[in-house]
Amino acid sequence: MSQGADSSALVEQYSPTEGEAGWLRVLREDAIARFEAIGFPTSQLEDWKYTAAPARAIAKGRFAPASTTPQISGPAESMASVLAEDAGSLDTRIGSIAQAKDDPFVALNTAFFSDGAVVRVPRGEAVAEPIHIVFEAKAAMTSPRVWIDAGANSSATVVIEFTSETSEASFSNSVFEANVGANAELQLVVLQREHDAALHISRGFVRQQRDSRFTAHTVTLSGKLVRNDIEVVLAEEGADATLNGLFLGTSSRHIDNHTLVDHAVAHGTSHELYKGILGEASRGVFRGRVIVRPDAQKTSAEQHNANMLLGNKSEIDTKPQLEIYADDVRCSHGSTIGQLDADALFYLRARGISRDDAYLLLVEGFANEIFDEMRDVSIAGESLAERVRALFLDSLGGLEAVGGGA
Amino acid sequence: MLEIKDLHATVGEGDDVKPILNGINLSIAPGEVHAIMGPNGSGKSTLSNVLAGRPGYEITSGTITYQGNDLGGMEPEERACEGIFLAFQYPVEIPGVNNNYFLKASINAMRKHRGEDELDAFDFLNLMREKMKLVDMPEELVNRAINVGFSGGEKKRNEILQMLLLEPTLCILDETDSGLDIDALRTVAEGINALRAPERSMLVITHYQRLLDYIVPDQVHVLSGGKIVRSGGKELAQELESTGYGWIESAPGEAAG
Repeated sequence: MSQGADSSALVEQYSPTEGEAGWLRVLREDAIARFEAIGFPTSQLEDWKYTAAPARAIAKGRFAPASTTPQISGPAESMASVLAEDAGSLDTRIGSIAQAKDDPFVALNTAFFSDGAVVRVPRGEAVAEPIHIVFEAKAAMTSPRVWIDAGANSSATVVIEFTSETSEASFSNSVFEANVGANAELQLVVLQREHDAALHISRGFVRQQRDSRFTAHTVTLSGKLVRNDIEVVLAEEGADATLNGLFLGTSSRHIDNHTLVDHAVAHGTSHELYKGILGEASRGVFRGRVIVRPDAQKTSAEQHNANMLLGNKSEIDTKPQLEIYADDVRCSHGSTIGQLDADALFYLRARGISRDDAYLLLVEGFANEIFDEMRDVSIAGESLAERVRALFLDSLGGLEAVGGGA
Repeated sequence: MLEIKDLHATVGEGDDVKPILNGINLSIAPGEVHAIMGPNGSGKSTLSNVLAGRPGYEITSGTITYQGNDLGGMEPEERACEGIFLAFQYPVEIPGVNNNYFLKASINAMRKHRGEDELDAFDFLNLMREKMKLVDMPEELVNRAINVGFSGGEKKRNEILQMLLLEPTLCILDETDSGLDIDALRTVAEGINALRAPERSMLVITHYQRLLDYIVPDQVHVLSGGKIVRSGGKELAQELESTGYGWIESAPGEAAG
């Protein structure tokens, strides 16, 4: 099954870190062996139908592994220091939710990560300020890794933000895993704003305990090729998962969003709302899988993907995938693809607003639902939702005003 | 104020182009209120859309002169900034765009056009409150997305609220009365009458004479087949109310002045 040349460049660069904890060394050796066995994905795999070709650029070994140290604010620890001083506390945790299995990118990250962040919210604690973790992409392959453990009855917001220190081609291969304890509430914002030459792969894995509430907002504002995967397992009854996403395509950006919500037990609820704005020759993919296992009676799952196609050459592939094995459930899904509403554009212009401003106002209006859904907390004195909205509006500057039938 | 000469216009694109206006002549002086009446399909809404510059409507011959300038090449936003206001027959719902935010953007776009300072949040709010009273507009409506979840009457009131805020020079009211109950009609008419002024003109397009009991026009024109077939004083509206539009087919075309 080996992909030979494709994977060997990275396998050769792998060498175990000196003095590392035994459990971690075993985890890494297993991961690199998995990677060698499975190699990079090909477009024959449904999961990688649209992303495989750009991923080959990564495989050619243009990117040497490099370490990345995030800036962290709020009650979180550096992954490197925890591994150096108290590695035992992460044994049986790291890699327990994000398993390498058949996933070459998780395997690569597990083999190569050296730093990242560890968020451990104590039982019953409500963290008011969001925990903010910022990674910078380099002209190399970096492996950001985040471990989140939200204790029972706790409440927190974590923002994982990706920026660039370089304008050269970069590849960040990020993995986060989160355990959401009983009756805990965790809001996660994943904000992709690396440089436009960046290749970015983000794989998120979440496990929810009884009555927990988890919300993710995955916002992609830049990059050349961006792939966001998030898998949530509602492992115990009464859990509620919300997966929201906003992706903005300009130039020839490719953005792939894959979600998996696994209703393993009864009385779980899930909601998904992904909104895509695709200008110029950009391309977007939304694939939303929902699995309702035989025991997951009384599940309620809803999914919606709405897209605005603004470019003459922009494209969206949207694919909901419901796999329902229980009979007493309520599941819905839908997707819409539209252009800018010409009537709305004229209405705004008839009130003196310039065509360009009206255009941006309508695009912003389309995206607003996502910001409005963010549970609002303030980050360094500024509202988190407002900050993300402002970054989104900045990125809209890169969107050429075309189409709209006017 | 407004001078329309032998206006011909089409709507649609490609193979779907239809001639709708077939030689309209109309002149409105400052301070005058003109009403345009006519059966469905006579070109009433086309005329208002052509005046506002809606994409898809094309002037094939003739001219529209507004305050001495040819409207033909002007973008809709330029026309708006120059004081032309169209109250939409079907106000558009725009999810995600806050009504208040929109009104502030609109008023400030026009102020900027006139070389005036933009209104700050405080001044804007005061102005809004004053105008909202005139049309009985509840506060919670202006904080919602534009026209989303508004009843038909609320949408029309929102149009008039915008007109009161923007204080245009030429108000075009496209079937603002359609679908309104008598109370809503009164409120809307009061808002419109509050704007009547010697330097402001109005073009009131309506299917029903009822609105003209509240907004008394200086002249009434009857549009049919894309032409004005009859013009007269306010009594013409009453006559139409009793005779209907049936007589139009047999009547000879009569150009208005």
